[in-house]
Amino acid sequence: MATQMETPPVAEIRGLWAAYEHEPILEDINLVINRGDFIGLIGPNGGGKSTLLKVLLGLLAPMRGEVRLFGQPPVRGRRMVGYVPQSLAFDRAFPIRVHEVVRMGRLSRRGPGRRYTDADNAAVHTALEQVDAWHIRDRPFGTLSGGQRQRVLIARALAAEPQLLILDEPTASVDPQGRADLYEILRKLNEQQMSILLVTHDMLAISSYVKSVGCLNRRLVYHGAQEVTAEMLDLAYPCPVELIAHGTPHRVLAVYPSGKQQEERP
Amino acid sequence: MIQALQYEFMRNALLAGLLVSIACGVIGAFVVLNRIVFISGGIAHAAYGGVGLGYFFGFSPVLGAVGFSLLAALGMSLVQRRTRQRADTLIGVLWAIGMAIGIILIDLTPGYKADLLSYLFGSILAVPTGDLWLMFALDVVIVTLVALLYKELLALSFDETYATIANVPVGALTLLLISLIALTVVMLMRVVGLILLIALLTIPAAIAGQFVRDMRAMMLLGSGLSILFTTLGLWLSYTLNLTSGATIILVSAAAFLASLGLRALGSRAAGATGEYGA
Repeated sequence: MATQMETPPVAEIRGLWAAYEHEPILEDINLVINRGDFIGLIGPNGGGKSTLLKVLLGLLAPMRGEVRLFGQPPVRGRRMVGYVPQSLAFDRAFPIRVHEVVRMGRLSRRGPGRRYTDADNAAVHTALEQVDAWHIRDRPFGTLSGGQRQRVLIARALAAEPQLLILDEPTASVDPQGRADLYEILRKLNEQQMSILLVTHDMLAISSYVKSVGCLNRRLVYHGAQEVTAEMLDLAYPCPVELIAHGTPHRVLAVYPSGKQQEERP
Repeated sequence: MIQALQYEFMRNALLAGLLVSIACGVIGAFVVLNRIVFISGGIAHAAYGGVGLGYFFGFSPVLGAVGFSLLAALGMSLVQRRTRQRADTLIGVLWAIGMAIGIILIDLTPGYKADLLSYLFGSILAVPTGDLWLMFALDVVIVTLVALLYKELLALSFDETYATIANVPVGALTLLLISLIALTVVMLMRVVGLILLIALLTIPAAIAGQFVRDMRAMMLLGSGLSILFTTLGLWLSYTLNLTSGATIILVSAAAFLASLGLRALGSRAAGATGEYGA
């Protein structure tokens, strides 16, 4: 804990409000991500998960409040962030090979007009090895399976040698085995002190892999704990849902008061 | 064809086809991959406003076209980036405004306008040597800039959000790219005319894109195909006594349809053997 007095946290959000065209999407968000955290962020569609990521990555200016990455404004601090988008959005006909995609992770280190160096290629190699994708480095990106594409996108993020990984629903187009593989990769990275923020709908990740869970639906409920609380469920889902906890026994949901209805929200 | 080469206009025409093809392959790849074919068509037609301006005020219509197409390019990319909805409507309107301004200005200009049609339908057989040097210079500019900024332009085309996060100057690069498109459009106007040029800008790149595995190869193959189409089109138009611009376009279009057919056959065969699984 002493070190945290000296070095700023990985990410720090204070009193954040964000809006599109004056329609508030995020209200009074407070969140601190510390080194070694593995946070799973759940919440309904339209609850502001993507907006929160955009603000964190400096793609959207906050309406109010403060956002810091490594003690810096997001536009500067994002140099130390590896971002993994959903793989669904890509044009599969785009002629590009896997290693070229991963090399984009080095863009923030090699400015315009400068060529990639041996150091960049070494970082690409390491990143591809980390996600077990070195053998497909010359394949066209568009011919890969959903799981392979997602691993390549993680490798791209890793090639930037980041200290924080931000993943936006990385398993949306991945089969069950591929999902487990992806989470194992993330767990290993996290064991090496990589901080991870994972936006997901996938209860496998929430129940068995992340260290703490936050729930976002305009407002954020986050206690740094691993249980999904009743408060989160109330916030996230307008109607009662059943959640099945996998994996280790202590990851059972904290409390689920049956029959408790969501309060009317404006 | 060999005997035709003794004429300077024929040699110039072939050279013009070659020089334009280089820009076409390189810039065409970006147009196709970034899905800005419509904007490029708009820039081409809006350039006619500049031609009219040149006629009216008595300066070079080509210079006018350069200015107008750059202006249209900047306006349209601004519209594309700023408005969330109906950008295509606005671009369509800009496209027509440029063209209409050109027509009115030419109406207002007294005198005989012999080479007016050459801007609309191209005049590859009437390219003076000075224009060849201009095309060469533009090629050098385009190839140099694209080579210098290749990794940034690739990232911008493939994943703009990621490029932004990597602090690539996405806004400036987009403006640069759209300006290079405008310059290529003016070069192409000479060869196939502004009405048809969108086909020559996109078809070689679109064919190449089906058969290559990276963007560099797409540019090289696109340029090669463009050289092939312009030369073949020129030869056909010479022997059959047809309009050269339209002949070049039809040759390209025939090749495009053939490539689509080839690809459909190929993927059916691959599907049967299960080469492309889910």
